[in-house]
Amino acid sequence: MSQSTGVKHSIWAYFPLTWHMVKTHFQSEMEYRASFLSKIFGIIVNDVGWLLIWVVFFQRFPAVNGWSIEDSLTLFSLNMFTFSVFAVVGYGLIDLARHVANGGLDYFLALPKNVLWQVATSRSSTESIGDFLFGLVIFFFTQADALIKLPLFLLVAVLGGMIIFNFIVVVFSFALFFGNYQETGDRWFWTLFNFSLYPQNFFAGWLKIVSFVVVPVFFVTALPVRMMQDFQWTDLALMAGFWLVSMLFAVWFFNRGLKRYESGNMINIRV
Amino acid sequence: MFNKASKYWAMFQIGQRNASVYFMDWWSVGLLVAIRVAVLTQLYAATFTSVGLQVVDGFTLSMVIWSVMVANALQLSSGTRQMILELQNEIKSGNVAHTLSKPYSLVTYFILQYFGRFQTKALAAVSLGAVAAAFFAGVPQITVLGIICGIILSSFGFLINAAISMGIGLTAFWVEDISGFRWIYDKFQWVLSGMVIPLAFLPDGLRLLIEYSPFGQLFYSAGRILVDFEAQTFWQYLGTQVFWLLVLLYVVTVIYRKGIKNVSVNGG
Repeated sequence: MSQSTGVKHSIWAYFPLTWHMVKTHFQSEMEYRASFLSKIFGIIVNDVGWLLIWVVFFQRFPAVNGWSIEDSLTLFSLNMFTFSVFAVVGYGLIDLARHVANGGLDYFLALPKNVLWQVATSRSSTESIGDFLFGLVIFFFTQADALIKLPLFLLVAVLGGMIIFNFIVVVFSFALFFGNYQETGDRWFWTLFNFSLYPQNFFAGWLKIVSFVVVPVFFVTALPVRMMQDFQWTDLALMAGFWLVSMLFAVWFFNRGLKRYESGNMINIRV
Repeated sequence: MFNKASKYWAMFQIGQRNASVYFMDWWSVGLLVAIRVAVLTQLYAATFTSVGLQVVDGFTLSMVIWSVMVANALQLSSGTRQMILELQNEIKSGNVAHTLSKPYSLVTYFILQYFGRFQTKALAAVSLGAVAAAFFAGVPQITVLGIICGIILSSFGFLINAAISMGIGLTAFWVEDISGFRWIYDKFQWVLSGMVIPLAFLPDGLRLLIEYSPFGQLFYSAGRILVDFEAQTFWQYLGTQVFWLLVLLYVVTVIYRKGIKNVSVNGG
């Protein structure tokens, strides 16, 4: 087998492995069924609360810069779905800074698969399946020709989820340079999450640059909303291009930081 | 009595000193508050323009921005997620058995230590947030009494938040992974504590329901009283906060007492 075939094989091997990890997390969570279902219920109640707040907002202010409640509903369904894709598959990344601070990364370094992948899939926010379902329900209730638009919705949501993944890798990799970074990383994640729920057409000036690069809310939800309303191949190419560039940067940044990582010499038994 | 007070005062000071060590963390909180203020200023400037009004429900643009700035700064300084995580680790790792043998209450220790951290961080976050809010939206009319009452309400708001966080953290006695509850509570804070939309903009029924719930009293009331001080509103908020604090502390105490019965200590 040639080397390139070997590389291809190893990359493709991560897909079934990721599926297996997610499935295992769900099976484990289902051991505590009442707790699991109560979390999903809590998520859905919260989502309804968010939706209600924005409905009330748009009743008070019917159009902000031409942005209406219909635009926000599209945004809302995409936001819920996109973030749940990330949270179900890669939620372990949220612990990256903690692993760095307490030497817990040693465990992942000793495993045979890619370190970043190991960390990312070590935990799943299984309750985010509530957001996943809620996003889909809102999508079907608010979009004309929902079935025709569904493939595009899924494509941009998955791409958006992968961009969030890259953003989180970069943000939490700062822990490899600064040490104590868990709380700060958390805050950046929530800033991205919540900014992506705001009407997206009022960003102007330097804030537009921030929304493109620093907190990439433009690529996570603004651009996908635009594509859902008026699809252009150039927009899709732009989004895919940003995903690729952000992924290359995230992997480079993480690996650079990893060289500075100092082992905690911690002996741990994980059961 | 004096020994007891000095013991708890020391816990509070530990928190303050811990928070003051990490300057990067201060700047990070300040930067995030500034970014949020900038985003919200653009949103509300566009919103006020869209309805062609200078004042909406008694709020000018600068009042709205200062109100949400305070809510965001307090939330970012509250350490909610860390508190829940630390408590969960304490319970799951079994350290709690060791802590129980010490001459202090675990619940009080956590709350006071995080209160110390909160005070230090909130001072930095609100100061930097105020500079950003003044720069982007101007300064509303603020009175000394409004500032003092705002500080009082923010302290009680923190204590309510700490009590809810403790309640969530203590469920680790029974639930394997409580990060889901933490995630849900985080989102509730965003929706219901005036971090995006001042509660004054909501219809009366909904506003009253949220304003006098524990969530409405976490971070919103301090900012609201700062930008629009009314003695009667202040006393109403304070009374509501004290009521919820007592209720929540009672619930936390019950959960804690039930939880520690699950701890089994093996000698050796």
